[in-house]
Amino acid sequence: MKVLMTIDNHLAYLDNASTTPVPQYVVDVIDHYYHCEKVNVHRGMYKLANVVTQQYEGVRQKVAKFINADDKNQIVFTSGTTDSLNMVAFGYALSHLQPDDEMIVSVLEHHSNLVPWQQVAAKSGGRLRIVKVDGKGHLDQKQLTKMINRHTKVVSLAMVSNVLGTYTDMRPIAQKAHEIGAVLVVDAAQAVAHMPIDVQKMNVDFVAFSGHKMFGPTGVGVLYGKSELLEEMNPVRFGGEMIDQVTSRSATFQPAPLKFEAGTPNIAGVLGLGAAIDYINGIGYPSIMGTDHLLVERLMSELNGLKFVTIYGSPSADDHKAVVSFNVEGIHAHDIATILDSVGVAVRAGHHCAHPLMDFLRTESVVRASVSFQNTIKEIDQLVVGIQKAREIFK
Amino acid sequence: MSDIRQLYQRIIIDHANYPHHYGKLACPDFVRTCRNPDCGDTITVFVSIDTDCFNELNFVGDGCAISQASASIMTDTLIDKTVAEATQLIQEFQKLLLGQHITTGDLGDSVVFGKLKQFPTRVRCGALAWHAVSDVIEEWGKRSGQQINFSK
Repeated sequence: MKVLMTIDNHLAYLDNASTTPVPQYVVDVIDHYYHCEKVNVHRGMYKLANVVTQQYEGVRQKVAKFINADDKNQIVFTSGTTDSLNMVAFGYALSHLQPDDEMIVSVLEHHSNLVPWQQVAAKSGGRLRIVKVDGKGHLDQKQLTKMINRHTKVVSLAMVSNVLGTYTDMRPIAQKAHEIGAVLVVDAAQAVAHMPIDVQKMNVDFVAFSGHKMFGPTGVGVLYGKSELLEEMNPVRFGGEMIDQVTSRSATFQPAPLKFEAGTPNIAGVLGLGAAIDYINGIGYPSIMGTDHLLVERLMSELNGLKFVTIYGSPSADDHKAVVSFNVEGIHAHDIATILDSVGVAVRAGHHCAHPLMDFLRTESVVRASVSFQNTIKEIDQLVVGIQKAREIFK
Repeated sequence: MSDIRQLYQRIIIDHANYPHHYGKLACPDFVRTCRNPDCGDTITVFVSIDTDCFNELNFVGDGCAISQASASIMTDTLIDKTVAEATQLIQEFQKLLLGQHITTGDLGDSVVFGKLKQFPTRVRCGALAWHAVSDVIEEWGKRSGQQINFSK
């Protein structure tokens, strides 16, 4: 498979946690749909409509296999992680929460896995509790264990932090949550391009991720849910395609997943997501994880060698899944990012949609370098050159 | 990409490292905080306006060198100016950031931010402190029964 990426080849692109490039193959699949097959799904009586519906539903099957779900009907297509998490928050949690019930998230959540739960808490009279992380950026398991109690209805956690790169093993947490009848929701947005996701092995209840962070197009994502939970969950959008029977006064809905996919779906996006899965499978996670690790190891050892650089989270490369955040003494993160840009290195600087974590780290903003397997050691070294240049300019 | 030193000129670095008129005023007539929600940069300006003159203008803030230096140089530029003069200078500064021709030479060292137009992602950093002061002038206008509006 051709590994031609569509981001400027002269740019050392180290902002993969924001969005990954797309391979030509993914672009070709989307292009083919728009050029040759642009018809709707699930409705047409003509052959081409059936062909495209088969392709669309084929991707559902492909996603199920990709994350080891046992039934393709557990896969809901959404517009992305934010959409997926909002669906669980407003379609499931809101109707299951009584006043005095509790939800738990961690301090390192992206705003997309925090703000929807704040809203549910406000609407339901429930309470949102925040579990901390330790000095290395790992979830405080002791605090979490204490926090989970008979009032807990939802625990929602990032599998990999988009700022610190730390990974959380969901299996023990799922077990604790299930003991008291709570559901565990996993934000896998930052994980999916870097490690395999096995929903059965983790035994989690909902999983959300986005296509554009896994070499696919923007505007498409996935919500996985256990069958019985999706059955209980209410749609939050209503209209065509999701209905069963409609009278002028009422309507009944399709079973999951179609009841969650009102309106014409992002067909091109879903087909592109399928192509992205093919692409990842073609490379293979062992190879992806090996390259990620080499790149992060180089980055960490270079940054650790610079006395004026503070790395956030763990000092060990093993604890950073493709993401390293840092600051340079006396120079604001945005100035570092602008100067890195001037030497052809793209990084993100700012609060990374994680204000509570910034407060926890006692900073306003950090520089984040995030790799994917197509990056090179040379690009990492270019980042280090840029940091030295910033030091010179600010001398 | 333009030479990065065009952006990070010595004068900007010096003001960022050693800002002028930094710190709260004890009894300001006006306090205004502006925040850039995308990056978290904040500037709070403290202003004393005597009759219609910028008697005192201090600031505190958190953020990048561009936003902090721009605030520092702005205080040098606007102190002792009348509200009318300051209003004109703010409009001139807005034009400068847009790369338009400016007519007055009174912007002082603030003209250094004319280079920002080559770095479009950083224009809002340079503009932050000036937005805060334009809000103060609008508020001053309200209190003194005049309608002053800046296009933002």
